Amino acid sequence: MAEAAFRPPRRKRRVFECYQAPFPVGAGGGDFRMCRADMVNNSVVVRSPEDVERLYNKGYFGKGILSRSRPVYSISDPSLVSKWQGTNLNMPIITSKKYQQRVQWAKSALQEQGFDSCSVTKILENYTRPLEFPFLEKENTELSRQSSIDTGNMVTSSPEPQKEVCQKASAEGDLATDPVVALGTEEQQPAVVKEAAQASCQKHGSHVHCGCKAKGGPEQESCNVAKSRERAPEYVLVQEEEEGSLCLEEGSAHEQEKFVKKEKLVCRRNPFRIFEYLQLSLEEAFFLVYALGCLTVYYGEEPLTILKLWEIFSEVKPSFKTTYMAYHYFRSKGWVPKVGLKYGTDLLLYRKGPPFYHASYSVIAELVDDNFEGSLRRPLSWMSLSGLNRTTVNASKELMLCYLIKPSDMTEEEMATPECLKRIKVQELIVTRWVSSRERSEQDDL
Amino acid sequence: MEAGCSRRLRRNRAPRRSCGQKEFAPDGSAEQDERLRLCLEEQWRQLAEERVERPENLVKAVWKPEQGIVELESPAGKFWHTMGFSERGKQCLLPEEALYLLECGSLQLFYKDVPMSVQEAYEILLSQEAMSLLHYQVFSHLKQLGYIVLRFNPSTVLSSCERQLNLESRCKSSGKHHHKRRRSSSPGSREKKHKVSEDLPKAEGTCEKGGHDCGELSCVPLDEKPLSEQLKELDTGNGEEQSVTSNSVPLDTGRKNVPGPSWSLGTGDQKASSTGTHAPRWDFTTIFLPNVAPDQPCIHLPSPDNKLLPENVPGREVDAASWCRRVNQKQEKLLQKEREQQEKESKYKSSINFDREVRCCINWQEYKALLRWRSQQRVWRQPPHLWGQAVTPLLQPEEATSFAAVRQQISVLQPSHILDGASRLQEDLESIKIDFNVYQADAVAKFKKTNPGKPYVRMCVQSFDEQVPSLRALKQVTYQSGDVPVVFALADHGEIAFYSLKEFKLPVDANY
Repeated sequence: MAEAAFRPPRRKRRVFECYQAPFPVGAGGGDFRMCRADMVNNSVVVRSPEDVERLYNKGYFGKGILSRSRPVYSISDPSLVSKWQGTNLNMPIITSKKYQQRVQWAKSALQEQGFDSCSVTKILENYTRPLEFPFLEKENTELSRQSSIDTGNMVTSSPEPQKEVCQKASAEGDLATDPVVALGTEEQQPAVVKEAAQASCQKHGSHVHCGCKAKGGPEQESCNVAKSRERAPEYVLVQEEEEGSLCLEEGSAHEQEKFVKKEKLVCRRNPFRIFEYLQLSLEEAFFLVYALGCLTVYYGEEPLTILKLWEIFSEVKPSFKTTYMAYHYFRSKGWVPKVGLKYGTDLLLYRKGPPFYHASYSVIAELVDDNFEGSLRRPLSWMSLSGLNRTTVNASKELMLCYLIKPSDMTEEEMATPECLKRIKVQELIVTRWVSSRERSEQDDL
Repeated sequence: MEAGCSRRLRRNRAPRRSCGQKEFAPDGSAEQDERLRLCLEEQWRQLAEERVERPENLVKAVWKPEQGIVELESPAGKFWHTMGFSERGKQCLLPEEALYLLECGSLQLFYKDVPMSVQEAYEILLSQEAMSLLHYQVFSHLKQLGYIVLRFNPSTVLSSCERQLNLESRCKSSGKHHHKRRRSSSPGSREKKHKVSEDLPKAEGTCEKGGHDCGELSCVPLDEKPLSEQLKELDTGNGEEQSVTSNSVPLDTGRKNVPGPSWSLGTGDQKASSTGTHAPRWDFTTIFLPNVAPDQPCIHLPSPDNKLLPENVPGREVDAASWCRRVNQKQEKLLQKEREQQEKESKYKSSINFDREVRCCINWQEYKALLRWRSQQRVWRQPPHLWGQAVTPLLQPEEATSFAAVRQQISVLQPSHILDGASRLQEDLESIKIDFNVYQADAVAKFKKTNPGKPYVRMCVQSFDEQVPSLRALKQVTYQSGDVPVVFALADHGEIAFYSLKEFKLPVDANY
């Protein structure tokens, strides 16, 4: 009986990142930090920018909700950034049109909150007035850390729990106090931002769902806490045309002047911020909580225990236990498993992380009993297996079947706790296609 | 095939499937239609061709339905080297072999004195259970590629013990229809096998080969090698190294590193360790070793104790100021890169010597004790929702001394080998049957029908619509096959695809 040969993972040609650590726990016990995640609508979301960065950089957990994988959402327009390379301000640069779009959104959001159009205009005009650069410099020094996190390739996120807005009542309650307070103070408590956040969460329909229960009291508190945490508005540079740049020049051709438009950058506040969070899959979240103990998942303000999480996740996803066992196994071998949805399987295994190597294996996990049989999540016929194998091989990966063998005397009770992992055995199999024709190049197929 | 037909020995050539550019879709043009028509015509023409053979060249054979075999009436040709068997003095062929030879045009098959057409032969010879159309298609496909294909006989599979004892030569596996199960090992040796397997400790599953291990220590899993090492091996050893795959036993199987005997003296008291077991000669609490480092220069060196000096060596006190001046006390000039690195690091790192408590430690032992004490006093509180519950996280933070240690803490799942528990499944008669033994074409010259040796691969014929075998079935088949790889052959209307599901152990990536 031959065993499948191990093929070394293929390194990516261009690697832009530095490898930091395999897990967000410091070796030597020094660097411990408890990250916080929230259960929002049956998914696990991390909001704090520091936590997001830590979890993603050390182990590649999660996915930014507005990005392809690494949370790098920025409102900035890259072409404009390169165009205005000379100006050395660390602020995102956007077009005037885009800015106006946001103003419109903020306007409609305010209107939905019940403000009459007069006050809406007033609020917005004030909020979006151009700011002088020296003013900014002053602000910058105290908010430099904040803005440097906001801009560039970092994550922008707000720790405000956004589900508070599901209840109109609480939202309006907040607003009643907010504009008055906000417009009065110099700090410019960004009421517009706050409600912009509220509006944006309405935009993120899938993300914040009115189905989730909102607790009035604790959320009110938490929102106040959040407000104090995130006070700084987002400053953006808007590329606008200079006034008077369109004036006719004597003697010049009529068409030419249309192209002679001087542009400048105007600093304004973004009235409609969009925050990017890190979404963790259920398996990733559970691993961070159970295996490493470096994450706490909150439901509202209540931290969930490991047993409770196991129960909740199993309810949300019926096959959670199976996929989690496989996930845990591969993590404990030092590989980075990510979701395998794109290839029709459960997991993709990366060495070190997606930025460094192409995924080596595409894994299907199945739970079987002591007799090595079980009701399969994906009963495969040879036809579907060959199709799956074909697509996997075309992507230069290998198809792996991961069987999780549980002893037959394992009770339901035992399965209700993650301690059952200790009795599970793992069998990996690699599916390969054997080419019978004589001209096959690899003699070591078997 | 008519007697006396003019001699036109045509080689069988299959119609060319492709004539030029592939037509993907009908475009309604007349040229396309014409091309297609020509192609089809060519095909029909070739199919309609009569096969011509010299009747003298054909071997005459008779179909015996009661026995389900074909008897040769005239002497066999070259095919006898790899096909056929002898029974009661007569040369015989299995139905699939006969059909294949008939298709090749080497055989003339008679039944009740009437020659059979190919179509009849298909119908009649493949009506048996052992050899269906599907099986035959696989057989034919492999034979055309040059492989030697024999039927599988379970009794010819040697267990690992027998192989070890080199009983292959004694095992006469001529019997394609040797229905008696012949065990070439004597009962005595079998007893020994069982005994040996009982003695072996219930160790890692990777060792178990169908229950009897025979003390074959070569299958003890090798120590984990870090992935980088494995990769190096692969690079140099062109991928043939099997050690890469048979490793990766997680460290949690209870094998803790036993410290070397030379260091296990007490608690590592440095006085004892340096001199072995007898009492220390030096009392370091009274011996003063001056520190002449630039940050804490100790310039005035007192006279050393006479007891510490050899007899004829005098000691005196010294003012080391002049020496310190001569020692290179210039600041190290760093390269630009180093300077930048230092600047970067200074934001996050601080010298450990700034720590007052660390400065109080005079040796490593004390320093380690300090670290341990500190870790217990850590500022991170053990949150009750994680640590005050019935189920706590796997990783104890103070045990996260390195990432390898972290990995060790979280490795709780056990590995399993494909042959684990496979032996107890053998009573199940519903398992998938192995159909063929396949031998490589290059081995034709040395091939001996009476003693074919170990096949290159064993085939299980399956239908495309069937479910992929369960793990249970896979284990059974793998066990049945011994050490020969198993390949599943899927026939789908003439097209054959082959797949194998192989045992694999993902190696541990220990690059940190």
